[in-house]
Amino acid sequence: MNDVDKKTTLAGVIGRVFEDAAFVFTDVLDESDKPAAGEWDAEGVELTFSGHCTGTLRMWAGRGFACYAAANMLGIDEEAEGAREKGMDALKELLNIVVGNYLPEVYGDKPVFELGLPRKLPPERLEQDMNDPAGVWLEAEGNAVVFTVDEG
Amino acid sequence: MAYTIMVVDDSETIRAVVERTLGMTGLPIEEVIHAENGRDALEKLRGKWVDIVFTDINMPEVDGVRLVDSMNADAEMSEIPVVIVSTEGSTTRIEELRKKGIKGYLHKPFTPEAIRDVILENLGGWDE
Repeated sequence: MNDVDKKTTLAGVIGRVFEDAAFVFTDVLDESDKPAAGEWDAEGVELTFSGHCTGTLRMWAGRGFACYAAANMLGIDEEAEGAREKGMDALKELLNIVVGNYLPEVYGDKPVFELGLPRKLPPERLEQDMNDPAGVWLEAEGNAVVFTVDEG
Repeated sequence: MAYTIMVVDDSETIRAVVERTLGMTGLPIEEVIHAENGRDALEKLRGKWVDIVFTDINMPEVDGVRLVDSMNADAEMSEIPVVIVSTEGSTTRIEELRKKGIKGYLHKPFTPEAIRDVILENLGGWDE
């Protein structure tokens, strides 16, 4: 599968996972709607995989999306304290599920992968990922979200 | 008879999501016991019987595979059906786990119907 197809596949997986796991609908984000570097208040997580091949997926989302996703996943109000506390957990789990669904779509359902534990990204990483030309940008309930993939 | 179910995952949020999904199945559930990894699950299983265990694979300290192995090595725990709940989608991995005796595999994201069906497959129906 070439890089363009992988990007399309990833976008499709993200849309399905966000809808099925977090009841969040996504849409392609217009270039003109992308946040400006240095002005985007975002939280990021990454997950590294190994086995059949190695790589890392990273996800950044506008702050506030994490609470929204957690609230949806838990069936509670977005303003509830539980939603705020569990937002980062929700981002990590969404990334985890995206990776788990992306890899079989790209490599088939036979290869075995070892998925690492999702980790919070340092803010210093944001600009690099925002400028990744292969990044997949989506809009999710009014929040910008970007995914990047590094594959070995 | 209502079910006692154990949910094993290192994420408190995900355990809460699974518990919420269990509540949406319509099945009679007496108690949902949370464990944050395989070691925690084994400690709790030594003190309390559960009808079925749902466990993630990828957890720190004692992961899901080691949990299955440890339960298989215990005369009483080996009777408890274990269902893997995971994001991993490799059929090769699933087959390896089935050879260890797991009773089901739920690939995330899963629906209340999917978790209900695996409970009924393993524990049978209930008297309403």
